[in-house]
Amino acid sequence: MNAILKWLESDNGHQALLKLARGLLNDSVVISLFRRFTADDPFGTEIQDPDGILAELLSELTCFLLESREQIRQAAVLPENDCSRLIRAGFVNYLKDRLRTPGKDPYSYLYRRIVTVLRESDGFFVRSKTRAGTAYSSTSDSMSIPPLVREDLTGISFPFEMLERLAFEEVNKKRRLLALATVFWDAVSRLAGGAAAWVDVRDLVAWIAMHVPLAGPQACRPGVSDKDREEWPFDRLETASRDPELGTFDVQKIKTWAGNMAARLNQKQALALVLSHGEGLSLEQIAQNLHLRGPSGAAYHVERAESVLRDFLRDLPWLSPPDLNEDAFSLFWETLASFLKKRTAKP
Amino acid sequence: MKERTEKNVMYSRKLALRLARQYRTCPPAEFWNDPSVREQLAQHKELCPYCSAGSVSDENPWAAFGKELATLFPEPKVRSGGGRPQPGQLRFVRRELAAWRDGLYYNPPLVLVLDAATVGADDVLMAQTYHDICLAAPGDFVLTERNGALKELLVECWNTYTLEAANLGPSVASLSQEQMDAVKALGSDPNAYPAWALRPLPLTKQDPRTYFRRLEVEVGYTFSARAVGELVAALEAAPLPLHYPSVADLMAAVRQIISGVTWPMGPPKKLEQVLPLARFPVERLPLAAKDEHEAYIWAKRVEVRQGRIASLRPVRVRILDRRFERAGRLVVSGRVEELSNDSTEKTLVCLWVTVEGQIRAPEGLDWDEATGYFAVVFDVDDPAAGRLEIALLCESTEG
Repeated sequence: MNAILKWLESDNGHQALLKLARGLLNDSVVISLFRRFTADDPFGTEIQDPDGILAELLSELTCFLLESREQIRQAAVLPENDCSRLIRAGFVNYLKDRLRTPGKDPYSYLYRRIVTVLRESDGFFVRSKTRAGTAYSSTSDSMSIPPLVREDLTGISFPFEMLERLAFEEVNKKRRLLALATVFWDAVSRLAGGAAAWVDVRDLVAWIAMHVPLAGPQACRPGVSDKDREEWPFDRLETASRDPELGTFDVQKIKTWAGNMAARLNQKQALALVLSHGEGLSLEQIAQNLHLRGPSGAAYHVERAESVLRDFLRDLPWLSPPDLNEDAFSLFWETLASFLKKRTAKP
Repeated sequence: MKERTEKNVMYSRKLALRLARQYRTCPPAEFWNDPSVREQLAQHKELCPYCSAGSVSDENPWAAFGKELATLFPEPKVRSGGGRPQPGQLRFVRRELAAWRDGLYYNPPLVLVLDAATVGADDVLMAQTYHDICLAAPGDFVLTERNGALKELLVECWNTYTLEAANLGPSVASLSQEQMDAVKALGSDPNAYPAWALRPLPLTKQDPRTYFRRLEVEVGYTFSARAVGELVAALEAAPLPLHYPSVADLMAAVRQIISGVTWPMGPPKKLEQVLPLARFPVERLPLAAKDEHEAYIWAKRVEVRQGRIASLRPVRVRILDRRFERAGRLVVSGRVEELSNDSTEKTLVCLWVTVEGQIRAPEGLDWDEATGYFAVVFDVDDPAAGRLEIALLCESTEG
C-alpha cells in the first residue's frame, strides 16, 4: 500500500537514497540551504563533516519522501528530466519550510502556548489550516500574506520597555504574550500596506526569539506535563541557533568574489569604476581617459559599472544588508580595485 | 535594556535570492566533468561566486534517483510531448533548451500556459514561475498547497512570453479556472488580487526581490529570445512586405508621400535600411522640442497596402532602458506609442547607427505588436556613441 515506505526500508531503497544524498553534497542550492538549516557554515564549499551532513541529509530526504509520497508518485510518471527537476525543487521547498519551523523544543512550546493564549482571548480571531499552521488577526475579514522572512522581522521594533528583563519567564505570561501579539500584528499589517492581515504564529515566535532567549532542552523532556512545562525555569538558548552570517568573515572568499566581480566588467566599465571611485576623477576627465566624446558617455559607463556591482553584491554574505560587515566590504573593495588597476594599466 | 545582537537562524530574502541565482544560472553538477563545455565552465567559474570552487560529479543525482523511483510505479510514462498545451497547465521548458549566455548557464524554467491560441498555431503564451514564494512581490500570484511535489509556487503574471508548443514538456500540474482568472487579472493590474489570494508585501528599498525580478527577466529573455530568433530568421527569409525592385524606387516612393524626407548619410545600401534611416523634415515632427528629450525618439510609421506605401508619418517611441552588457552587447528596450488596435500586421525594423556612420542590424529582437513593447540587441563597442533608428510597417490584412 505504501510503496515508498516499503522501498525505503529495503536495501535497494537505502542504497538509492544514500547515492542521492552523496550526490547532493555537490548540489550548491541544496547544500547552501541545508547548511543554513543545520546552522552550519551558510556558504562555504568545504565540507568539514561529510558523514554528519550525509546522515542529516538522509534523514531529511526520508521525511520529505514520506510526507510527499502522493506527489512523488505523480512525478514518477513524468519523463526523467521533468521528474527529477520537480522533485529537486520540491525538496528545496521542503528544506525551506523546515527552516521556518524549527523543531527545537522551545520554539514548539512557545508556538503551542501562543496559539492557546490567542484562542482563549477575546481580542483575536484565530484561523488554522492543515499545512499552513495557525494565523491570527484582530478582524476576520483579513488578507493572507506569504511567510515573513528575516528582512521583514528585523524591521519590526521590539517593545523592550514591556519587559523588566530579557528572559523567557518575562515573556511567557498570558498578558505579555497578548501584548506582544498586538504589537506584532499592528506592525505586520502596516508592512502589508495598512490592511488587516492574517499573521502566522510561527512568524510571531520567530520575532520574539530574535530578541528574547528561549528555553533550554529540558523544557520538553519526556514525562514533563504540559502544566509543569509552563512553569519550568528555562535555560538560555544554546549558541547553536546563532546566525551563521554574523561575526567573522571568510577572507579568502571575499578575495575570490572580488575576482569574480572584476571579470564581470568590460574594459570601459572597469576603467570607469577605477577612475571614478578609485581616483576620484570628474566625468570630463574620465571621458578623456576613455576616449569618449563627452561626460554623458562617461556617466553611462560609471553607472553601468555601479549597477553591475550592486547586483553582484546583493546576495553575498557580509557584503550587503542585512549582514553588511564594513571590514569585509573594505577588503572586497581594495581587492577589486587592485584587480581592476592591474587590468586597466597601460603597458 | 540592551538589544540582543544574536539572531536566530532563519530564512531571508537575501538567501532566497542567492538560491535563485544558483538555481537559474549555474550549470548542473554533472557538467563539471564534461570536456565539451570546458571553455564555458571556465568562463562561468571566473564570474560566479557560487561555483568558484567548482564541484565534480559523474551524474545528476536527482536524475538517477528519478530512474529508481520510476521502477516503483509501473504506470505508463507520460510521453515527452504530453499532448497540446492547455491554459492552466504547468510545464517545464525542455531541458535541451538550456543555454549558455555571457558565462551563465540558463536552466529552463517551469511555466504556466496562459493561452494556447495566440500568435500562430504552434505558439503558446506563458507566464514564468518560480518555486520560492518568499520572493513574491506585488503582481505575482502565489499558489500554496495542492500543487504537486512543489508545495508552493509563484506565477510571474508580468513576465510572459511565447514559445513553440514543441519546446514544452508534459503537464506536471494544473491550475483551476478561478486561479487562472486571478493570474489574468494580475497580468493587467498588479493590485487586482481576489480576496482569497495571498497578497505579497510591497517592495522596499534595495529589496532582494527587485534583483530577483531582474534575474527572472533575463531568464525569460533567454528563452523567448530563442523563439524570437527563429521568427527573425523566418522574417529574413521572407523580406519586408514591400514590392519595390530597388533602393532608389523605394526612396522615390517615400519622397512622393513627403517631399522633404532626406537620408543625411546618403542613399542606403539595402532596401530594409531605407525606411529606418529616412529623416523627416522638422515641420513634420509635431512635438519637435520633445524629440531632443533623451527618453524619446521618432520612428517612421508606414502604412503598407498590397506591397506599396500608402502613408508615412512620425510616431513617438519611448526608450525605457539602454543596457550595455559584456562582450559589446547593447540591449535597448522601449515602447512604440499611439499603436492603433487595427487589423494590421505590424513589423518593427530597427537599426543602430554609430557615430562613424556604420549601420548595424540587430542580433535579436523581441517585439510585442499588441502592446508596442520591444527589446532589441546590437553588437556595438560604445553605446554612448550611436543612435537607434526605427521603422514600423503596418500592413493591412484586409482585402
